[in-house]
Amino acid sequence: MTHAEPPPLSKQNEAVIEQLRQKFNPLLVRLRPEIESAATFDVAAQASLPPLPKPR
Amino acid sequence: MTIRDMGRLLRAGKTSSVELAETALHEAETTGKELNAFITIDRDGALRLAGERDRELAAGMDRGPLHGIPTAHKDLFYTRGLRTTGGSLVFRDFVPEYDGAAVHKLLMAGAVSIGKTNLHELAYGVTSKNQHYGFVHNARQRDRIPGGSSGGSATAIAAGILAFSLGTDTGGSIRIPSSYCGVTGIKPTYGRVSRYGVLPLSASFDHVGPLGSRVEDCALVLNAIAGHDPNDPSSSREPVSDYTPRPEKRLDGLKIGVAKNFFFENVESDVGKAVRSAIQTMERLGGQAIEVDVPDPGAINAIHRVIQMADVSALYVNETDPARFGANAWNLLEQGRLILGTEYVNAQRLRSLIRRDFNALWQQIHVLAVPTTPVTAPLITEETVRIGGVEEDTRMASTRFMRMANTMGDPALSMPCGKAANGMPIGLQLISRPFSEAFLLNLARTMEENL
Repeated sequence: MTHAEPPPLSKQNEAVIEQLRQKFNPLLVRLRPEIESAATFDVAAQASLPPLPKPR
Repeated sequence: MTIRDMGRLLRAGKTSSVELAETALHEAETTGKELNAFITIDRDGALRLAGERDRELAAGMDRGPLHGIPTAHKDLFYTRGLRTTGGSLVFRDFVPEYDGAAVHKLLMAGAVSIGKTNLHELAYGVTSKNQHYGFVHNARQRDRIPGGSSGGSATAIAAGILAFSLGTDTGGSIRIPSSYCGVTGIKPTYGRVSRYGVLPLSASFDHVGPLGSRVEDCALVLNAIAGHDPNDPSSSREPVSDYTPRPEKRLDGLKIGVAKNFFFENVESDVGKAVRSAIQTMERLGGQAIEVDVPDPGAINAIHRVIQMADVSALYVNETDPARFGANAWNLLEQGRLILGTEYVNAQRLRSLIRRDFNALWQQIHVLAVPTTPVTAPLITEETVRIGGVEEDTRMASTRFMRMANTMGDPALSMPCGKAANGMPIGLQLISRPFSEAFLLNLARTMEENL
């Protein structure tokens, strides 16, 4: 497969990502290196939750 | 008709699978064509399979509730020998050599596919205004979008062509069209249903699930498709429940989370009223409404966009010709190429961090009851919606209440809970803890009886 270069990025799309960064970058202060590696996401990792109501 | 209705007629000998398929095919070729609900209709394949199902039933072989029931799969699912376009020019000639896992399970459960439903291009958008295979129209009012990306599936159900269809949900693609078309859809827990043999969009957030005319339709389909699949690395080994719902007379002990933040802000007044009224119905049945602060919905939306855009652009990194894409899809692919590696990794780290906050939320409540979408289905001609005098991009408004359940992987269901003054359906979204699908479907079925 040949790998051609895509056409230049539009200024409008760059502006969209800059807007997103304005919302995203302030969140980074919450992260500390000693915790939260990218590999830890586990949807099933639940603390012991109280039971759901049972069907009657 | 629901799956149960058709099954009863079949087993009473009052109809046949071939007759059901013929009716669905006729509707797909007439009403479905007007709605642009289908990309491919497989008349020969459907009638051949329906005939087999009839012979099986006559011989005493009953595969269960889906035996002989017509369906159609979103054209993102691999179907052996039948092209799978993804609603895109990129895959217009792609004919898979095998069925996707969910498609295969439905086949084994006896369902009869009549074809492939239309969708937003590559499932990367929420309007289903597909430039290559035609704009999908909402069966409730044809000048409105059905939502997306599973727009063809939802509108086909709303039009009565199908009782159920397979959809996918990366950022609301089952729940948004369910809300806009007045049908029911459930995005199960991440990993609950195999994604093997589904054209991927964002591996971090892709989910497979059913849309149906009623809650029970979704439950019966989930019974057939849920479960571990070694072919899907994200597939869960959590045991599968019986999802068949049994409506409750009372909801005593139910703790209903009512969001103090975000979910009732900038919402059309009819939508807010209908959802609050549904919550009052739950309270009347014995449930306890508890006001909660939902952790960081705004942050989650930013995290979801960073991860999703990078995931999708990585998939299509070798695509360099904008002519192969609609303008909207190409713009999103361009935007995703601008996400930095550090931003992507940190978005995944933030996702894990917020997951802990949700574990704490699920300690307080059993379910979060919120609007599915802040508006009813927008007009096809509109690119923006106006809520309380504030103009918002249709895509951003439609996905505003969606991304949380995709980012956290929690199950979320959308069901109709009333109509707005414009006559369009309003969606109630019920979100709960991981692997609580049986609970959610039971609650939704109870609400269906009481709304």
